[in-house]
Amino acid sequence: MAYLVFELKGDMAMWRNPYESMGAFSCLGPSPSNIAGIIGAALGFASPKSQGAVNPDEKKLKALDKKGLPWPVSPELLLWQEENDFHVACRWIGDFPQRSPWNVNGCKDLDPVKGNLRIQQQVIENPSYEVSIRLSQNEAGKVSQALREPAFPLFLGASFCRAIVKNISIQEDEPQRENWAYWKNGFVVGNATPFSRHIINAEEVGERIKSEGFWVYPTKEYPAEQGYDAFVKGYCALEVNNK
Amino acid sequence: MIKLNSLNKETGNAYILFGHEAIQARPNLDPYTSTLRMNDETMQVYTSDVHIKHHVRRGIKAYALENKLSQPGSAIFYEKEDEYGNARDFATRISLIRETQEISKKDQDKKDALHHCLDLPLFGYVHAVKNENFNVTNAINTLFRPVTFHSCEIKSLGRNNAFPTLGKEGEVKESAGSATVDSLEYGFFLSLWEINLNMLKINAQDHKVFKWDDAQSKGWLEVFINGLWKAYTTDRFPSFTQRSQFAQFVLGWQPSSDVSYENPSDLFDKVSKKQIKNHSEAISGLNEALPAFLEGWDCSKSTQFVSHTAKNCNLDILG
Repeated sequence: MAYLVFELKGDMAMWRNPYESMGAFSCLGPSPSNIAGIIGAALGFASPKSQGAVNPDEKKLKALDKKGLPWPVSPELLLWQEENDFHVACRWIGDFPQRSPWNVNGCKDLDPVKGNLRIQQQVIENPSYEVSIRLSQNEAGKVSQALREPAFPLFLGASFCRAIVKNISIQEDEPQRENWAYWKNGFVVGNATPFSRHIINAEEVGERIKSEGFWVYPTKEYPAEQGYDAFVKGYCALEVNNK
Repeated sequence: MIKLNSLNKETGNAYILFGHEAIQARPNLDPYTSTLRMNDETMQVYTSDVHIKHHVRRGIKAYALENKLSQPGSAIFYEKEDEYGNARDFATRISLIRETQEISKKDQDKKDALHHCLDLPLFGYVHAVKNENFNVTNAINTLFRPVTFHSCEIKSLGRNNAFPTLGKEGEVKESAGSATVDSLEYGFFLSLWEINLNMLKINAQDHKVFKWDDAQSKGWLEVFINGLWKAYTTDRFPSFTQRSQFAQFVLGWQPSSDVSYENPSDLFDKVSKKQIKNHSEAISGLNEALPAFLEGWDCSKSTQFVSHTAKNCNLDILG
């Protein structure tokens, strides 16, 4: 096994919170599914509903739409997570976390009555993380190359927040650091990101992401609780309900 | 017209640094507070990618019509009003594109807008229409917020409304009153754009009007760069708050080695004079700080594919 380690940075980040109705207030850090998405973009795994998809099966997509999956995750990415037993660790390495307003007159829709779609959001300022992924030596090499020259643009949660990947390395031993994010199911104090993971059998169950508890991002001011594994399994499978 | 040199390669990322100045202007106010967006500690003023792209679209249309690359009705998708100011919605816009391009009902495709407008392959969009939904990731976007590299002087201007607002019965609903607004005295903005060339090809390769085989990445980047330039020179937005913004330089390059990823905002720490009040002070500041910044980004004569300056922009490094 090898440990791919890299820094993930940017000008701002918008990690939307699925538990928050407006999705306008950014969590401090990414969830495992967010990180998987970045890896998928670097490797060129396109969502079948995106322009990057090659010859998508329209009939199958229609069926998935009916099943409640209008925007399915890339099947190649789901397979990659399963085949590589995607385990990931992430920690905040920035200064004191700050959010700032990022209010814009968007143009996602053209509405003759209401005019511009006005968007009010709170983004993370100067986001900075260290990420580590446990992979085979061969796969770690492939992903590190892809992160250096990504197939698709990389984002920090939203397409207006371009990502910067720096200091990529492959290490033999688990990186020993303080303050990795840790998983907790229940009440948490501090900067918590819903612990969201891709469901690898999404087509069977009709759901693409499951959030269970929180991934708590410790900071200098709120250090990590002890006794948690730094690396978490970054994907899951749901039982198929045949009723 | 700005012409580009050939690209060194068709993969990876390319970068464009665009400099423009705003004089007694109000660029991109926060729509909720109506104030300029700024760093309260350094007094640097910034704008959003959305704002600049809004202007670039106007410039792209002007460039496309001048060079007969497209038709007035379908050059740009995101035009919310027609030439008479009548609003139009998403469905109307798509049907107008089809009408302009003479696409018959049987030939209609959900990707008609993507394949006929020039802005969508560059900036992406979400086609959120039932049973048709798909998304196009932006190939070009700012890597950092466009920002002034210096402190700015912000004036608070008092304004009076000439007339009161009357109700149905002729009663005064709102008095003439007065208000104060932010006004940026002088700002030299730097925006650094990142282009994912693979994404650009994916988005543009099936374009029906500006065909990929003829245009390639170089042609599409020319559309963007000329649109950007025109938006801040010959085709500036005419409003009082936007028209006094002027393009100063544009540089494009493809790094051949690792880069610093330095944010143009951080040039603030490198210039000796922090508060800049006019053009000549800005040029002095950039002459002081820009060479090292560009070196860190691996921008040199051998990696550049475009370098263009305004007549009054005497930057040593762009010679």
